[in-house]
Amino acid sequence: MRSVAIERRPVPPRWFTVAVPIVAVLCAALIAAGFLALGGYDPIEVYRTMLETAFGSRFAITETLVQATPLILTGLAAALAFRLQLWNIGGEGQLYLGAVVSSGLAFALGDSLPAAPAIGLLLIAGAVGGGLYALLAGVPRAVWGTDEIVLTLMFNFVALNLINYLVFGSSSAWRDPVTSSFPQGRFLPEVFDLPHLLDRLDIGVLVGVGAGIIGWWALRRTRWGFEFQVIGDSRGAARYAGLNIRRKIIQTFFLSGALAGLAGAVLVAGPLGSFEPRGLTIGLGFSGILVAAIARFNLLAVLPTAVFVAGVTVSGPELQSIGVPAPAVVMVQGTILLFVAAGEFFTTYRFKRVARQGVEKHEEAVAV
Amino acid sequence: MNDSTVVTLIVSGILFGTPLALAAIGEIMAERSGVLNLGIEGMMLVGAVAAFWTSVQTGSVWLAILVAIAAGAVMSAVVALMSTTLRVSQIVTGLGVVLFGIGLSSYIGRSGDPPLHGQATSATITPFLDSGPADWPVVGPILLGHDFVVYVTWIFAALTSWYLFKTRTGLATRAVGEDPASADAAGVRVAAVRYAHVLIGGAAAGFGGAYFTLALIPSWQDEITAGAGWIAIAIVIIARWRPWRALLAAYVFGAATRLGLTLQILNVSISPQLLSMIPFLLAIAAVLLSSIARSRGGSAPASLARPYFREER
Repeated sequence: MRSVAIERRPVPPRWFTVAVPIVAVLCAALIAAGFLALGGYDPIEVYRTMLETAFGSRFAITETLVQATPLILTGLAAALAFRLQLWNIGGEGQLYLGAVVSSGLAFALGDSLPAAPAIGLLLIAGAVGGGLYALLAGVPRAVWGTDEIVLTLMFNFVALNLINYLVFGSSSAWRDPVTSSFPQGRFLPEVFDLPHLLDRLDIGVLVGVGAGIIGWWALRRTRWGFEFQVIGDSRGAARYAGLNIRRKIIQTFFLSGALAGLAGAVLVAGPLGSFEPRGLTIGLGFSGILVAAIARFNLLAVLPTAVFVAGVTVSGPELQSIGVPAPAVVMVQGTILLFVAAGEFFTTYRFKRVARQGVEKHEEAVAV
Repeated sequence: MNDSTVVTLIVSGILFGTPLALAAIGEIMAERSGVLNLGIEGMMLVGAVAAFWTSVQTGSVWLAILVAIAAGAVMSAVVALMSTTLRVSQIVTGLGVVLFGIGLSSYIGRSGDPPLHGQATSATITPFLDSGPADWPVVGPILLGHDFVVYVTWIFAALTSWYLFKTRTGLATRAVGEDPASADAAGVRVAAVRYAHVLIGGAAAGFGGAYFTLALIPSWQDEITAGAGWIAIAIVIIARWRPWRALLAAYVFGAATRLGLTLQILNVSISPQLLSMIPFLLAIAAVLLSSIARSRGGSAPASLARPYFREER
């Protein structure tokens, strides 16, 4: 008699880190196909349209990269915090605050500076805005152990209402003064427009890629990164080694928020060109968590993953033109996240065949 | 007297607090058994859309509620499977369920011909009494004039409180949430307990979602629950995992979401966007305070969000 039991893997094989997310995405695509078929749509037609919209032409690819740019940054924000078991779900709100502070600076400065220092200041303002907003949750988390999941989430809703207030609920500096009957976000002075690389793709993508590479390098090669890894792997070992965990938590929250805030800055100075709530509030914070999870919280892997998720997202409007409601894309994203989470089971545990001998062995096998 | 601002605010607090209370007390059941179900918002949304769809199609409010409860339970079965059998991250799982729920509910709301969005239903939840005792001063509107769901919520709070703190099964459940290895050694079936309580929580969240589309706002719009599921999770922390406190906190939050309307009646002009911040700012303040004063009133179940693996006992 033989039976199957579960045991913990000592070390998962290296190829798993690539294979598990890919299989998860394929499984999610299968499940979503079922839902699409139930709704009366042809899944193959839907997926073909999605692929074509995302990667079918040069224009499609640059549009996907435009979408990927903020996603890279919110993905890095989530990956960095999650590595330290800090559940910063607030990328969404931190992105909004990055947009508020960076565009606020741009409105204050106007055309007074040349482009290079103006854009540099804009990016710094976005990062500081997002970083400080993250600290509103990060400091209580570090000092009193307050639940950061709830705090960061609640701050998302506060920030959402704030940017809507700035444009739709008041005559603030962020509201376009020209159109008063139909409120919209104010356009940034021209000097802040991010220079374009190809079609609509601007240097924001370089900010994202640069942040990913620097972050990945810093975690592997610097003292700060080494301490970060120790704390992430074992709080106990870190405490025993005398590392200041509290300070690292606060620093990580700031950096995580700063990355999300940068996403806000490159959005308002890039593809949006204005402080437009309708363009900012498209769920980039949540999609960033999806990116980080598929990338298994590896900062370098966030880069290609963000391009993939952007490809899925960018096809939403195109799906509507063949009659599929756009929220189908969000449903697919959720399914992917669930399968990626489930995939962790296979990297953590493995099945083993056991001989049924003693009573104890038998019980063990039945229990799992 | 019954039209006074205070009475109106309390009544709307009870009404709008009811879905929060259902979801929060359900979440207390799940968390007491050691599973952090972050997917509440998704379950409420799917419950809400399922209830509205059934109500429009069949005209039966009872069937609509049943379908919503079943939908919430099915969604939570995913959380139970992932957290208990596969033992993967409950946080990533919860966020996945929320994304899926947002997507699925909006997808259903825009599908069909004519789409659900923009339709009306006559099969809604209505109060038991519309006159007589319901008109008595103060106690009438506050205690007697509600629909059955409000009273079901009170019974739910009483039952869960009695169950968790006065019965053997409740004690076993709390033991699973605190120290699953010891509970296992004492013969408690950890996985079964966790599955059952997560399912109860999901069913309650589905019911709470149905209250939005059958009673509070009898229509469908994308993300109709507007963050109620997240507020419910905050309420669990503020209530320190106790059902009666969760009920009270839910009513306070219900009133906070309606404060804007009250202020409008009083001719105070504050922009609606700032008023919408109130419940979230209130949650932030309450969660902060409760973490600072954590020594009093009990803390989170010690094994919350930690998967249990018997071989590592």
